[in-house]
Amino acid sequence: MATTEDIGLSVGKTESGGDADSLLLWILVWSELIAFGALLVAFMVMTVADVEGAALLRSHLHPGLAALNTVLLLLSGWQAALAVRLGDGPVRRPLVLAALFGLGFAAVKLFEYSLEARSGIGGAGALAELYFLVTGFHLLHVVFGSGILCLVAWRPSRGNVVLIATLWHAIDLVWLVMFPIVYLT
Amino acid sequence: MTRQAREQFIATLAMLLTLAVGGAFVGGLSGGLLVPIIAVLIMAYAKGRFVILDFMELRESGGLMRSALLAWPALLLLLALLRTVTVTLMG
Repeated sequence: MATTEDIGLSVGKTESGGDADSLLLWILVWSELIAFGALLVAFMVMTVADVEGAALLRSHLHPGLAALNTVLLLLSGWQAALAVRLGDGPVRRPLVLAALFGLGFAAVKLFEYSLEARSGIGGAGALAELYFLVTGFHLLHVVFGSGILCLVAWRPSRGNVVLIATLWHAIDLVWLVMFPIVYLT
Repeated sequence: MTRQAREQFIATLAMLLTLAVGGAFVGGLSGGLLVPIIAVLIMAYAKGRFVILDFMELRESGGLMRSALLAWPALLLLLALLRTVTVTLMG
């Protein structure tokens, strides 16, 4: 029977719970990836079914702000990865910086929403709703993740740092795929 | 963290930021043409690959998890390419 080592689960292994923690972590990561994957596929199908609506939606979006958000999330993920690499060293600073970059992402996204709402993005109908659902669900993850990063920074333990950093990278990965699908292609 | 590891880590960030800015720039100027859109999707995959291999520290892992994680962005970005081709042919 294959062990978690055999399928490459050891990255998230924490000092306290070993394989069980690692398995739980990857179940969490994959539940996120599958949920966002389904939403992004639905978005793509809708844009093919309603080409005019897709063009209207895109005319209201702000790819420049989304690109800025990509930079913020990459910087945040980099700080989270740094915290993991520091091991038992001083992890508070990179974790807090990761959370602040995440909150910066949220601020830019809310500003973008306000611009889009004022410009009348609702005219794109169901596609606009799906856009807010997909990006809003991701935004909630970023805000929640930022809060958890702050909590872990307050009382850091190796296991929790690895867990939140890996989940944070999954949220980062979702945005990296979402950005070209929603804004650029 | 050794000096070499730190330098590699900073180089990864530099590449990610370059790809992010470059991808947004190319995407902004694509005008719906297929070739720049393909370039944007490849750059998006490259970013995802860096995050999976270097941020998640799976570069040295040869397991199923690494392959599955790399397949996730590849599959979705391939679907995005198919969508663009379909819309182009339709219209």
